[in-house]
Amino acid sequence: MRSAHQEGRHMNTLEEAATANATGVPFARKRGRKSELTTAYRLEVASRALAAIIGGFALASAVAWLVSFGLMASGVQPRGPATSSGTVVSWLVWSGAAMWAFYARSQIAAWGWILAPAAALSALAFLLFSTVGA
Amino acid sequence: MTMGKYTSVSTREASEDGSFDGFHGGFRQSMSWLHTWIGLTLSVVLYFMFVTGTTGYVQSQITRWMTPELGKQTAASTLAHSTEDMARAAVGHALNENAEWKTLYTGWPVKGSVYQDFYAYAEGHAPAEEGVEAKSLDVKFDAKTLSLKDGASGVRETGGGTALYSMHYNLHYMPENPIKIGGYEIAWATFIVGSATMFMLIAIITGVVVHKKIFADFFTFRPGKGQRSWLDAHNLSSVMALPFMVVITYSGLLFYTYEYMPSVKAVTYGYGEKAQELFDRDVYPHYSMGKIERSGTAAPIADVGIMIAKAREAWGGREPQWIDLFNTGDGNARAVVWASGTTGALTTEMWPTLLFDATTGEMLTKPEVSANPAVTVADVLIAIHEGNYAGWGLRWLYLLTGSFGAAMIATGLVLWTTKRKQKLKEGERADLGIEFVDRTNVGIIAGLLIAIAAYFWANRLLPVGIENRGAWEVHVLFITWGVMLLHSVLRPSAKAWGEQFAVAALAFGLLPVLNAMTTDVHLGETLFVTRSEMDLELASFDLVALGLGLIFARLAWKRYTRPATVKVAKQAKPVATTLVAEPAE
Repeated sequence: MRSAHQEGRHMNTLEEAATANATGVPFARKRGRKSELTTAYRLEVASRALAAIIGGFALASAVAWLVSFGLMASGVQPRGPATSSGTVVSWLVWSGAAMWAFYARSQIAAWGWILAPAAALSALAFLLFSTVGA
Repeated sequence: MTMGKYTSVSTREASEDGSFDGFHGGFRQSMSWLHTWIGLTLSVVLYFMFVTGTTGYVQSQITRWMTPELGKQTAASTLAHSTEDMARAAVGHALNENAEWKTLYTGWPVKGSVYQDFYAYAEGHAPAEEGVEAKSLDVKFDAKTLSLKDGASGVRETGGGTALYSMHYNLHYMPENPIKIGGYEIAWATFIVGSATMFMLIAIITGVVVHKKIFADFFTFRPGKGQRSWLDAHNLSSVMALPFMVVITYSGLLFYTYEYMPSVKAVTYGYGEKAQELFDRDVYPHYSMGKIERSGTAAPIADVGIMIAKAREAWGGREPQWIDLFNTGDGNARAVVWASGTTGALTTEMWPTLLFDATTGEMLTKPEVSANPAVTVADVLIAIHEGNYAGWGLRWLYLLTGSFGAAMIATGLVLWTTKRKQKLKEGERADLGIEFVDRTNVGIIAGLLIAIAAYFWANRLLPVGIENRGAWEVHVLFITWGVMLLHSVLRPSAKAWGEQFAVAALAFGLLPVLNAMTTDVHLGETLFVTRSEMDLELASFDLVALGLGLIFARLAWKRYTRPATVKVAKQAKPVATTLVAEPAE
């Protein structure tokens, strides 16, 4: 899938593309040359950053819930320790999600593969939670 | 750079649609893009955190230097009174003021402590009538005389090492009101520091992904080669201290775990005072095990000295340093004795506690708590972060690795601009954004170090007795940093580096001289005396300052004799063959 910014970018040759890239895209403005940074590109960076931050938080929360509620539902740990266990692993999930957000081939993949598992795991987690302490 | 680099570095990028920009490339390439930008975004905060945080490993040594009136501590120095006597004096005074405290906390110095005073801090029960404030007490005692300390201590008011290292998590100038979302609260500083730490964690992970040849980086430094050297320095400083960096960052998040990741707690406990109390009881049982209901029958407190002696015996050598009393004057009075944290070794129980029935002085078994491996791991990581357990050898190592952390961020920042400037053609001028970062880098990196030296100068030069003296020391730090930033914006970076390094050389190098001129705890008294008269801790401060001065003098000298010009010439050899992990961006 070709994303919007690829259509919009003014790249004539591979050489120019390589130079733009090597200079670090977002500030690669050259004097007397038209900016290589389009609005679409900037929006994509913003979108992926949001996927990393908000989506990452959602996925990290979902995994944390699943771990905590799973431990509680299975009786392995009571409420206090289970809360700790789920919470302390969430950072790695968040980091992983943030990395994915900037690696995914498209924005849809970036958001989709973060939000879909987040929704599914949250649902499963709360299903488990509903069996706790009844 | 040539195309060759990309084809040799990358695995699947440059394929399909010929797109080379950051996150549309292969895995390593996107991670390199992310590493660059996530590293840059909050790098100033992170650099500030690393530099000021590193001083925390010697915060009591810094405080000692900043309170010269306290004098030397030699090998023969001992405390005038026993721990038991100090505790008895503090508790006795508090109970004289009011027999029934809800909580009464006291702590005292142990051998090597900076301050030779001890304290009592107490809060009364909530009064029956509304609108009446509960009683409270907050007093200090002189460890030499066991009597109350009045305002005039004869010791200059200073922020000391405490104010300096605390900046790395309170950022000093922050609004008092926290961010509130529903029942959730987080302080601004905590939020900013947490965000920076999260960025750091991602920068570390992506950095490791990008730098495949970690072992080779360990032995690779090629000086005097512009961007190449900066990259080597960046890799070297990162790799040398990688385990430290990982632990420091992850544990940084653990300090405020439930603020940063509130999702689980919000569901399992919710918000509010009652919820927090339940949570603390379940997760940190030893902090609240003394908090039980009052019985209603009056009973006096037993001798705290006996409880302390029992605790010392039970720990077999660890020195008790704090005692918390609960429900004094009541039959259900409890005491919790805490051991000093300085053990010289890392254990899973960093802060051992013992519970006593405070009316009889009898040791009680601690309440049964469910095992919490997550908290145990978190406690150990936090203990490593704080380094309270560390003896002097480890403390030096901490200083070194902390400096590597700061150097990693600093070299990363410099690399960002060096790399971009190196791409310029002959006579081409850098983009305004790059130029700005290039210039402010000097003020941020060298300027902060000068600002910290200024903090120490302020300690010696601000008139003793002015109001808010401690606060003004800190203002001097930030004013100096601001001036250095301004200077760096106004000067071309190639000149500014040399100038600020020269200032740093003088600012640090002359500190021992300033110390000798203003106090009697200078090197002549702390080092160049007979062995029994030496105070190597105090001398170390002057020696480190002198050492830093020499390092900065060398850097400044290099800048003046061999001014760094941005090399336009491209390297003949493709980078990829020497360093696969070159951030490709």
